[in-house]
Amino acid sequence: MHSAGRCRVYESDGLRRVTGDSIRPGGFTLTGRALALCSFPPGARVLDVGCGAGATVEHLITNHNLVATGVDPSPVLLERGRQRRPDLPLREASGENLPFADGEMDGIFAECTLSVMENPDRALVEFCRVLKVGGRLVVTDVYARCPDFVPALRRLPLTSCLTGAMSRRELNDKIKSAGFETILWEDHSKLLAELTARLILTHGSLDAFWGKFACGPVSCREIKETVKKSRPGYFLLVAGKNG
Amino acid sequence: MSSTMLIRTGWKLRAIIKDVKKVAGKDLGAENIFECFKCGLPMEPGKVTVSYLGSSFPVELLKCRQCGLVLITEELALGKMLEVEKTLEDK
Repeated sequence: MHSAGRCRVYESDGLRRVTGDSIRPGGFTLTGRALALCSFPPGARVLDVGCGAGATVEHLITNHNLVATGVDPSPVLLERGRQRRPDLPLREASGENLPFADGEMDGIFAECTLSVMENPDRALVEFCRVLKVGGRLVVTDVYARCPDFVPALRRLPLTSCLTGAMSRRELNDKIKSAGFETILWEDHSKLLAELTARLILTHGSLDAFWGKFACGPVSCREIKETVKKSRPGYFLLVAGKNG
Repeated sequence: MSSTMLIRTGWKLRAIIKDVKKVAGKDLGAENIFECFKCGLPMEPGKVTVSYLGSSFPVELLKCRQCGLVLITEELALGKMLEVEKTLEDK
């Protein structure tokens, strides 16, 4: 994911204390919503891209009888997952270079991870390659409701789903260019607001939370204000691979 | 000495808020010791669910283990709870 030397918010204990190992707004709420929409049969092969410590992989195997695999480029998060559940099928790989054959998966989940990938365009093309024709792509992520502030987000010295957020239009264009047809888009910004509220209640204030990541000339207040100006929202998108 | 409890109208707690009094602790640090006005027991940190604009959050607040009375101090009401309110209102 994003270049070395930047703070990776998703690896921090300060975030995991609030989200648990799912490391995203809403936990498994939107995973369940997507599963209901996709109706994968038991035994279907699904891939969680950016699986972190494997919480979703474990959830898909244990609670939905799916043959789930996870990939993540973070050795830190994968090690956490292996310590918790050594039997989980977790592999070190990036979304842009998936170690799977063409058409191997019935479904791909990228939950709050596309926005932290170095090259989302390339990752989406990889997702399309690895999916079967008719397979389903599930993306949940942060999006910028004020696209004018996306360049300012990119300049922040952090790697997080907030700083990598795209506009809805940009994301839809990328999805279409990669060979997918969008089946569903839903706004779930309330989940992001609730996560923000939990961060405040846990850390005392947003300044205190962002202060853990402030580095160089960028203050925690500047991080907070830049993020706020972009009006971050949260979405669920389900897309199908065209034949 | 009675303490003033400030809570903005939108918040809902599952526990009942009543009067509390701040007592002068001798060896536990007077500033942070409260006792329940009704039961006379020291208030202790406990899990409470607070709700605002349809969102609920489990938080740890001082509460009476006997009657469930919960204390929200002025500092808390005007600090992080106010910031949470603004966050949810700006959604």
